[in-house]
Amino acid sequence: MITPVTHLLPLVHLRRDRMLPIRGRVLFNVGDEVKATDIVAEADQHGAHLILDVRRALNLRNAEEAQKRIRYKVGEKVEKGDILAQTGGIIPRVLRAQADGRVIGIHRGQIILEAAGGKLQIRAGISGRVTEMLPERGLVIEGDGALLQGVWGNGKIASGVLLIRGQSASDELTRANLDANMRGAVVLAGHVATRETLIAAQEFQIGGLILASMTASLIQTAIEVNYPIILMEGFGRIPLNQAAFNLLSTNEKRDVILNGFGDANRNEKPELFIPLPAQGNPSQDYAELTQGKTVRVTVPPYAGQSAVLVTIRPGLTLFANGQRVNAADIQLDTTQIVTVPLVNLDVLE
Amino acid sequence: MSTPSVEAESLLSIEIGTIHTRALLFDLVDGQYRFLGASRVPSTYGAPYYDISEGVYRALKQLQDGTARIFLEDSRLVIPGRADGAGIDSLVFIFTAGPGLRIAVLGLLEDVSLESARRLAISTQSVLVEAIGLNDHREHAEQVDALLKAKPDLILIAGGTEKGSTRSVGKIAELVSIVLQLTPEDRRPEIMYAGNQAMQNHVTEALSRFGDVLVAPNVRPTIENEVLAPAQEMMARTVTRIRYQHLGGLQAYASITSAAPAPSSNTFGRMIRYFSQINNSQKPVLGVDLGASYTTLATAQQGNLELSVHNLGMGAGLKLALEKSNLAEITRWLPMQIPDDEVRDYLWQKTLFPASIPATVETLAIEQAAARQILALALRTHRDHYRNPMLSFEPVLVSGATLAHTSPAQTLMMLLDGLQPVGTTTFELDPYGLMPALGAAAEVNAMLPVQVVESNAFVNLGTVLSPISNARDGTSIMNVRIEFESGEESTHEIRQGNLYQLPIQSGQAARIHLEPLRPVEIDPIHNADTRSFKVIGGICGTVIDARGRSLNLPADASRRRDLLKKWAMALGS
Repeated sequence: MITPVTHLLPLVHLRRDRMLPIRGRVLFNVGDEVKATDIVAEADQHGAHLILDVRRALNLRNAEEAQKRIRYKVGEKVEKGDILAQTGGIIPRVLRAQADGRVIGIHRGQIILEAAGGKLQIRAGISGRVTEMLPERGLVIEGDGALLQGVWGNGKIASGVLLIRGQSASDELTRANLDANMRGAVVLAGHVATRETLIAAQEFQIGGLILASMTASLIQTAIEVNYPIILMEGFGRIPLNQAAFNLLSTNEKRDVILNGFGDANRNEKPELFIPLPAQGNPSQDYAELTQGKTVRVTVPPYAGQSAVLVTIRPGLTLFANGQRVNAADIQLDTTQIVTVPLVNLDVLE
Repeated sequence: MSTPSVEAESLLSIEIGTIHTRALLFDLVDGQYRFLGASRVPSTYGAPYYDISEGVYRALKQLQDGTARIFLEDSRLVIPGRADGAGIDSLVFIFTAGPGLRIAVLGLLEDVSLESARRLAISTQSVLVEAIGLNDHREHAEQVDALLKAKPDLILIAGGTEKGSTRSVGKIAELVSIVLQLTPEDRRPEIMYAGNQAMQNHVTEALSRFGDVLVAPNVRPTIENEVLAPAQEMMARTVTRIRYQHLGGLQAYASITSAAPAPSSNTFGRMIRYFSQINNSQKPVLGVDLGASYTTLATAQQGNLELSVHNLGMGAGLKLALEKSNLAEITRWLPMQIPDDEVRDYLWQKTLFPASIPATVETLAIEQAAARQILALALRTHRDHYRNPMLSFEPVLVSGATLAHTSPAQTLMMLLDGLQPVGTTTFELDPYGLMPALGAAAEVNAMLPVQVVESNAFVNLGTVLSPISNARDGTSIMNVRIEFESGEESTHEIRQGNLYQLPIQSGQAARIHLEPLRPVEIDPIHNADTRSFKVIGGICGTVIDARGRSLNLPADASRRRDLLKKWAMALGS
């Protein structure tokens, strides 16, 4: 059975696309080195629109006459107070711009003015070198380092020095465990169960949180805080799998980049990347579930536990709840052998 | 798209789902079309492939291995089939994968054309991102901004009865024209017009310089009449055009399919419409497809289809279910005590791993509790959209992994608790999820779905009678006499508040005679057969659900759990 892989790789060559959803400007060229937090592409977003009816404002007879009185062309910038259209005569009637912006359309005697909007910015997400560039669209970045994929992220990107709280990353992180020395650091911890902890982490200006798990009732708060959060296992009180803890432990005090974007439906996972001065190999994104593979159980019971696949059982296996499904025997880190549905496993590699 | 062959025999259906890509094989066996086999592999429209082809290849390979038939040669699908039996004659593609389409609806009157446009929008996987009608009092510029901000994939314009308003429709076209002018060319939404036909040319002329304008017959030709069916077909084609951009590789397959790829909800609806045409019942047919990201509901009577797709499901769709529900609306269905946090955490975890299966008694109970709430939410929304108060259906056809991959008794309990139908209802389970594929096949080969449906591809869960009475719980409300074909008889006393499984075996025919002891509404459709009718036992026998409507569960948690266990035991689950 083919199954998606969750990466826990000590050294990998990583390639990531960074594309704008609309046309814009790409800020780096092929060959440039980028840091994860660099803005690599940006685009102007729509500002508010004003539709100014010249015919009505100047009391003209028809749209054609209004069209003739317009003093700007499509694409031209205007400042607040500029005269956009004007009648003749000794005391002319005028139509002035109500805001700074740009004329983006003239349509049957109406001027469409777009006020200055915000910028849409895309960050690199990983550190590395730009290897491809698509003008107005985005670029491709490649880099080498350790890669760990999580299961949920809050959509934010940042980087910092990795600090590990606790010995096993299964303990609950509380406000009492946080202090001012963590400012700018990416903190690895076990579980968060209170809103107070997430808010405290923001007050101490931490760089990011890598958590094994979090109570689902905190999702909204986690989305609102200003630093990235990545859950390695998911929702509930799930300890970090040993393989991930071991890999992160060997990288403590190194710079780590958290990219909290993910979409479970599209198999896009939030990830953390630790740039390393060595050449890695590209990773495989799918794997065959076979004997000896390191796997992880994704849902209860045994959620978050890494294990070795001992055997895939022939036919369907009957579980205590009456479900008959394809199943495998796996050996947990505790050496206990248990049977779980095949679809509740993902491959760690 | 290839021309369908009149001599086509074998048909392969490929379904690109949110989680899985499935291949279903149909072919002639002894002159009758049969479902012969299926395969299922992870879908690959997302990372890292961003192309459906890899999943399609794996599904075909698995089907080839499972059926010992050759479909692939040099990694290519053999089509049409060859004389040596290799390949297939017809290919259809259906899909549920992809995010809900962002649809903006524009119309005139809120409860006329705008309402019809909304119904059209919910007949596919969609998120309604903006609605603008005559009663929208925002400034023109604010409406433009709202539409730009909404970033719709599709702008759906309705409005104007035939021989009705033209000026207001013209204004809508002007508004859309400005929006299209301001939207970068490669981001422009599809435009569909289903309003006053007299304005068809005007709207097309105003908007065609920005792209194709898809024109469907007016969804509201008169104030009183709504005609959705032709527009729904056009909507399905429009959705497919948009999905070509979302699902890499889909468009390439369109050149070898026998019919254009279609949304599963559309082909599912087509099958429910078909069932309503062959069904003589005075009640509508109800179809329920409980998926991972979406739940599709279809009701149809004498060919008139009401279709709705809800962003509710047992995977990613749990997110909206949790947002729209109090957790208590889910936990009230749990027959054991599980802390609220544990329930919430498990369901959110399921959104991250939608393919996972409940492996314990507790997690199965949590999923089945959530399924009940999703069924209730979807049916309530469906009835609200179509302003249809009907709660009596015949039959109810259901599909979806949560309903199919558990014991029949548990499936029936979920359906009774979630849908709470009244009167007499037969529940049919589509265990292999064939209905969308059959609906797609119907376009190529009209005989195939008919014969497959007749081939016992569906499982009769049982006929359920749900009488309504004001009697207190425990009061005798009627006697049921069962007259078997052998001549044997048995009589059963029915008490309010209870659930009964009558001793009619699966496939066994019997006649039921009801003798009310108190005022009881046996079925909202009163006819001569109401009190005496023939049933064929389903896999759960024949069931009397005398628990009342709507179901009132005790507030006390311990009593409630005892009652849920008692009801479950009554059906042997």
